[in-house]
Amino acid sequence: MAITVSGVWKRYRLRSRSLKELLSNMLPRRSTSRPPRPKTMWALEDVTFDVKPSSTFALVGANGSGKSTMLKLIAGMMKPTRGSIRVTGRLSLLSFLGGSFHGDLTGRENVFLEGALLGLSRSELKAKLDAIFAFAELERFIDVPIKFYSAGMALRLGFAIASHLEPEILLIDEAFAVGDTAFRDRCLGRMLGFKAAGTTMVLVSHERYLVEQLCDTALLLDHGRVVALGRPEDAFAAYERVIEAEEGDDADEREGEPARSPLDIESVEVLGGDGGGGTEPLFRSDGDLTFRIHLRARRDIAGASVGVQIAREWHVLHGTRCNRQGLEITARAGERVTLEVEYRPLALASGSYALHVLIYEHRLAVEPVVVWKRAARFRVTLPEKEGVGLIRLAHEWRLSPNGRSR
Amino acid sequence: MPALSRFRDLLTQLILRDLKSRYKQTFFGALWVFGRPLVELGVYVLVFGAFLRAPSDGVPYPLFAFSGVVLWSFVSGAVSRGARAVQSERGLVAHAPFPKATLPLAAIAGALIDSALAAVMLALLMVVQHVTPAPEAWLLLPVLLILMTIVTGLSLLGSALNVFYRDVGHLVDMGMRVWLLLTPVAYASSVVPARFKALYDLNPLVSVFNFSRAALLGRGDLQPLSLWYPLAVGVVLLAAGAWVFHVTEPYFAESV
Repeated sequence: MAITVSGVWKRYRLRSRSLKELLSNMLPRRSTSRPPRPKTMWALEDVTFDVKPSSTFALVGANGSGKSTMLKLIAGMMKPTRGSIRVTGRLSLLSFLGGSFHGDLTGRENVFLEGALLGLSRSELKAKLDAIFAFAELERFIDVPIKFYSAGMALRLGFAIASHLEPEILLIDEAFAVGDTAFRDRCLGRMLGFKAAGTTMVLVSHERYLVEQLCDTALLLDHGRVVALGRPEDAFAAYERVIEAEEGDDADEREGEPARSPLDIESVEVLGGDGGGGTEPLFRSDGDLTFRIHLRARRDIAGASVGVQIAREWHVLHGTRCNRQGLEITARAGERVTLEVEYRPLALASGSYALHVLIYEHRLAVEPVVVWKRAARFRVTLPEKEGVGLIRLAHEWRLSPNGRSR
Repeated sequence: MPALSRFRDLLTQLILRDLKSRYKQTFFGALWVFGRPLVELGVYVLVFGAFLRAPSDGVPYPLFAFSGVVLWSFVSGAVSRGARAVQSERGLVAHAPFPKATLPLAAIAGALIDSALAAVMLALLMVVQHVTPAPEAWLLLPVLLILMTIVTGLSLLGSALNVFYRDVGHLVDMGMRVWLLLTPVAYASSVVPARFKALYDLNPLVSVFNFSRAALLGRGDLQPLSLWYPLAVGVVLLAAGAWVFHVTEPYFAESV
């Protein structure tokens, strides 16, 4: 194994040490009525996994789940409170790229310290200097002080130095979300190069596509505990369940300025489901769905507009406004209006969805005055067993006669 | 051994960065290295030499004071810069795996380079004052080694403890001021009354400074045996500093 992590626990202090605390610990303790504030927290609890040589491993999880702590423990920057970590091979950590850069020094001067920190020798750096600046596309700025670089340029230089390492094990902490898309693609290409060269990689990332494409195994952490360990697809499916469970706590919420709004949203119905009951009716992807929105005019209005958005986790997958189909709302103060929007067929992939309802003062308004987030929820299943993607296009598979296409 | 060469490469780059960055963008540039000790010397000559008429053991006072200033600037620069070396690179310490001892060592090297340049000025001053170095001047090299053990021990100790207790930084600042006044930098130790002598000699720098002046300027008697005490203090401090640094280093990343 390249990396073996067994039964690792890591505890952090939440308060800094001070001489006062040191002294008061030495004095006999007086009993106080105040309960003491927590002094420590567990950042990792009983984490066990191993990484095979030449494989690519992903650590995924929400912010604060312990991913970066795990990476620092593997890098040997900290000691686990309990358990053990064994690493076989020369290791480099990519994190805080360009952290050693000194603004007053030129790009050329800075490369040598940053490189030495990452473990490149002076002669290697001299030989690779031109290649590094070419990779970063900063040849023209080689003798310009770094403080005149933009943040993106400095990060590019940092990654360019790191990409000229030749480690056996490479740890990457969300380092590739750098620069414009062209540079990003080059970074990803470099990572495929590392993979092809047999470098063992451990990366921390939120990018599902990247992890699924690049990694053999993924570990999902939640609040320091291992929730899933296996194929990246399975880990991300578990990730979605964790997020849904957390989102369930904060149900719907209304944002904006209701006092300025032309309309109050009284209620929202989701029609056409196959029952399933509860707060989340179940729909088939190839079936129909209708939202019915009950509104009440707050004042005399001429030409207000209503929008809906369908969201999964925090991504809005679809949004539309009634004025786009020529429908505007005109009503007298206090009058009730009922709007319907029908989807036929629904065409969403399987999963849990939420509906946001938005009110606009008139058809040209860009910002809604009121947004009712998660006004309704529903679930979708596919007619087939499985499928990939965020939508389901209506389709049908068949064999053509003679095995030839018509 | 790759770990050792990596350590050396990193240390070299840290020293170069500090050297290059220190006087960039300043109007006088590297002249500052010479300016600071000169101004200090001027004040000493005026206050201690002209106003207080401090005894200087028969050496022209500017030469007496400057030889003290050069040595002291090394001790003071190395210890106060060294004690903050880890804390002031908290970003790197928290995010990059590298041998942290390079940080205080680079600070000491920086102070050594500054003092070496001041020593060049001291040599010029000796030429101006028609004082030729004594034949025993080579003894300054072992003295420098003793000073190195003392300041390295204190820097390692200070930089490690300062990560956990910020009080240490303030303590070092205060300590250096007191230490300066209790060391024969601006005055000769012959002014210390006999009843305080034993207490005064507890400061290991007293014999180091007296010996260095005697070796360089050829005035006063050389007492090589007086160096055993500072050497012993230095070895103890170095061992203690290295041990504390080694034990606490794995906790730097989560504490800075």
